[in-house]
Amino acid sequence: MRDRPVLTASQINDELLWPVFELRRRHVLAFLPPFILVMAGAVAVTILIWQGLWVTGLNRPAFWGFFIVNFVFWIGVSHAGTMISSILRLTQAEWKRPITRAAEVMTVFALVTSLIHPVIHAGRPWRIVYWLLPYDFTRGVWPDVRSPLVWDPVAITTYLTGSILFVFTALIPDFAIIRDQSTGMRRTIYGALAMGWRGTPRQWQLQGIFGILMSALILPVFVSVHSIVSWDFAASVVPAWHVTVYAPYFVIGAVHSGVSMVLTLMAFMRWIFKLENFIWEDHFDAVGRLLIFIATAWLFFFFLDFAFSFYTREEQEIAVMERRLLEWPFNAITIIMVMTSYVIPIPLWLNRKVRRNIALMFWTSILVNIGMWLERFFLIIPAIERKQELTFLWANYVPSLTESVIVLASFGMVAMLLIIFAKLVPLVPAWEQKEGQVFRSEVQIGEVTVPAIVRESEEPRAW
Amino acid sequence: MQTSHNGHEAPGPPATQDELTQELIHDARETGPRMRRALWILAAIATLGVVAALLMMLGGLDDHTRWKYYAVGYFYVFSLVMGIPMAGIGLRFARAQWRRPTSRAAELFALAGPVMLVFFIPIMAAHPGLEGRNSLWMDWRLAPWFPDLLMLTTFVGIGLIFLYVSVLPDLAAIRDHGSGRSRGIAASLAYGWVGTAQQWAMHKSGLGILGAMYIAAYATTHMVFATDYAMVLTPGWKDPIFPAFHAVTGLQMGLGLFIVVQFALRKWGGLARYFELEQFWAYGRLLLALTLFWFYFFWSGFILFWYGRLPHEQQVLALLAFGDPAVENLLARPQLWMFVGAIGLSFITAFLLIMWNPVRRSILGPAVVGVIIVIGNFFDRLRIYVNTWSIEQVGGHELHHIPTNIGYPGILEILVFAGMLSGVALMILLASRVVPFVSLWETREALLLRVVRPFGVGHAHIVAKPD
Repeated sequence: MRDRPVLTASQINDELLWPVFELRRRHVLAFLPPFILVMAGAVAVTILIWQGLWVTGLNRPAFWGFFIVNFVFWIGVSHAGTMISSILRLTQAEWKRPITRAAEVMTVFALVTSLIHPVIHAGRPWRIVYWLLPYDFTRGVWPDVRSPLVWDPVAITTYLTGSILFVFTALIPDFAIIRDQSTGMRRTIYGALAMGWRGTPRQWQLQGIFGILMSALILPVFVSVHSIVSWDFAASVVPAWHVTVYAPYFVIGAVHSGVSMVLTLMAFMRWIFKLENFIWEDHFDAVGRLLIFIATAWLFFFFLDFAFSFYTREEQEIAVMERRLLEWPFNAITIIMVMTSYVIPIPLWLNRKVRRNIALMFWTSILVNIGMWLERFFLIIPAIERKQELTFLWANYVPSLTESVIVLASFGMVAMLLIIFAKLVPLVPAWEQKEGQVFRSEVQIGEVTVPAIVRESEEPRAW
Repeated sequence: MQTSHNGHEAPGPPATQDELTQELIHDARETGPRMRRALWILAAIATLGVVAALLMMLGGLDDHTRWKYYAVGYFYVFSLVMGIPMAGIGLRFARAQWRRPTSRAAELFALAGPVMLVFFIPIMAAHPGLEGRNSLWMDWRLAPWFPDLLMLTTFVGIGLIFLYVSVLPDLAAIRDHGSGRSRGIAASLAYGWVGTAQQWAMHKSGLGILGAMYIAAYATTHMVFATDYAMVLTPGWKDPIFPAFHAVTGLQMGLGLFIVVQFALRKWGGLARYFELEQFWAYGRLLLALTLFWFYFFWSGFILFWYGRLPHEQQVLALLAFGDPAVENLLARPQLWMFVGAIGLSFITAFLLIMWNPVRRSILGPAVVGVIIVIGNFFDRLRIYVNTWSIEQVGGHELHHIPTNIGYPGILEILVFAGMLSGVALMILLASRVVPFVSLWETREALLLRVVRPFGVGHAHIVAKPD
């Protein structure tokens, strides 16, 4: 096991805050590729709005394509922040400290990115307002509040608001650190953001209580958001969509892709910002173990969905499954999805040496995200391409170059926003690191010194 | 003993290694006359239960509706007890230090497996078969009997092997320090365990692998039971979330019962030192999470049926929740009352109590909620199994008639139910005569890994993390 570095408060400040005060070449180099992708995406969106939806591969009856797949994928990724911060905070998992902020911030940026997709998908984005506001007062046409398409924006904006609050509150002590080390305009801005933080016992107490409260409050929102997104599909009568398992299946898939994305992000943070003293092999090991559990739960729900599609032997449902399993390109997509989401990474992650190998963890996390993106495609597209009770046509969906560029740009957008954020605030919370240093300890067992942590307790505990 | 601010007695000084050996190997192994009497009574009731099951089989297997209360009793007890070892397994995976004094009591419930296996045979024989019905088994002629029996046998086998591996170090300790008959039994079971580094490494790996296998077997057994013994019998019911609901509710009621068992062991078993506020508080949090899961899994299925308004799904909702809509008098709809009892106790009442930290952070609070959940889930299994096993025409794609005459259990069904519960209790109490309810090796390890040191103006607990 690697020796855990002991750092003083000023060393922590120096190592974590340099991106805020300096602009180094690697920061700029990391910024450029996603920026180029975002620019390409902006051009593609402009073409789409200018020319209309014919530049996409959407058709009748395949009205939902890459944009909706990508929307669902990014909503899924956004679950990482809550999973890491909220659940691990409530369970007092000590290893969460260096990754909470990056995960929370990724939640916010993933949510923002996902929200853009339905707007682009509308073709004429200004018309999205008709989903939410009365279409025409004089005609008495109102949004259908019973429609899952109206539940979506409500759930997602609630989650976004909660996530921003979650991030912002945890940022306040770090804003104060930057304020105290700055001068001029920067000091004024960070001073305003720090809202008078002095680190008094009462302020720390309130901060702690707020963190616990938000962790508990945001959990139902976290579960409901992706459940509601799943009901966009499941509440319809489309064969292979109208499945009761969709809600938990979507949620666990979201957690799988989100936590894998955190793994990717951890490796990037370590490489770009030189955070070796904060993000250790132990952290990759811990996330790897968590992912074994999450991926296996995902497999269970995948199996339930799969097995029950043959349960009633209904013709239409069998047809969709045949398309998913036997017809090109979905047969290839299915194989790649299962291989990359479970079959390849899990046996690797079961090995402790692999879990502590950062490069391998990075590449396996990329594999999982490829698999989970394909899973969204696998679930959404084949079901609507064929004739069913309410449609009279069938057609294949072939995504266009415009759509593909916009999908790639969405990845660039999240990466670019994260890199910009890292220029403004440390991606590893400095105050949590300092707290971690206070709580770290060691216990002598025989001849071995074992790392230990201090547990706060109001009452004496027997065990 | 001091009394702390929340009214429970604060724990005494931490036990020493010698005290643990004394308490867990010597004191708790004594079998007094009351214990002997209890064991005989339980054995008698369990035997009566087996006899009652045999009499029911002699009464005929052709009419599956006769077996509805047997099915309720069986799947209720199965769900109640077979999930409890997961409390030990799951928390060991999560490396929760506080679970150490409680894991053995949870793992001992794996001994319920053989009892469940014995009582499974009649209900398996009474199953009307899958011909002409929806099925997961693709018209396999041996299904559901052979795969289900194989699944349950594997599940029970894994549980027993897991328990054996878990108790192995304690058996060796009893062999070396114990006395009387338990020492002889322990010596014959402990083989050559002497606690070498290699043995401990294999022990750790074994517990990990067997624990993972137990979790997988738990999920798959619930899946096939929920499908083959409830869903298949109901025309038009296709509900992939239901097996997961069945498994999660099993965990919730299992944890509820386990907290009650801990309360009993603390109050009457002389083990107050091990089942402390810390354990009740932590298990209370888990119970809160599982109670929320109960609702989430229920709601995920319910909303699609309710919202989708497909005729065959409305019939399933009537069967499992609202009763026959043609019956205007709500009091005359048994399904509605079972549903209200299930959701009212398993979720609403339980959640409204356990959501409060003062309730969780007490000894009595989680135990009371545990009792409520155990009762509430009885209503849940009642609504699922009594209704599905009351359907006479189990073929077709849609349920045309909601059964209203569900009747009451007879004396034989009551005896079977009591026999199953007694059999489980008997197995666990018999085992506790040999191995302690509290794991000696895990608590000794806990003493090594935990230190109390001054911290600021008070004291802090330092927990070592060797991995």
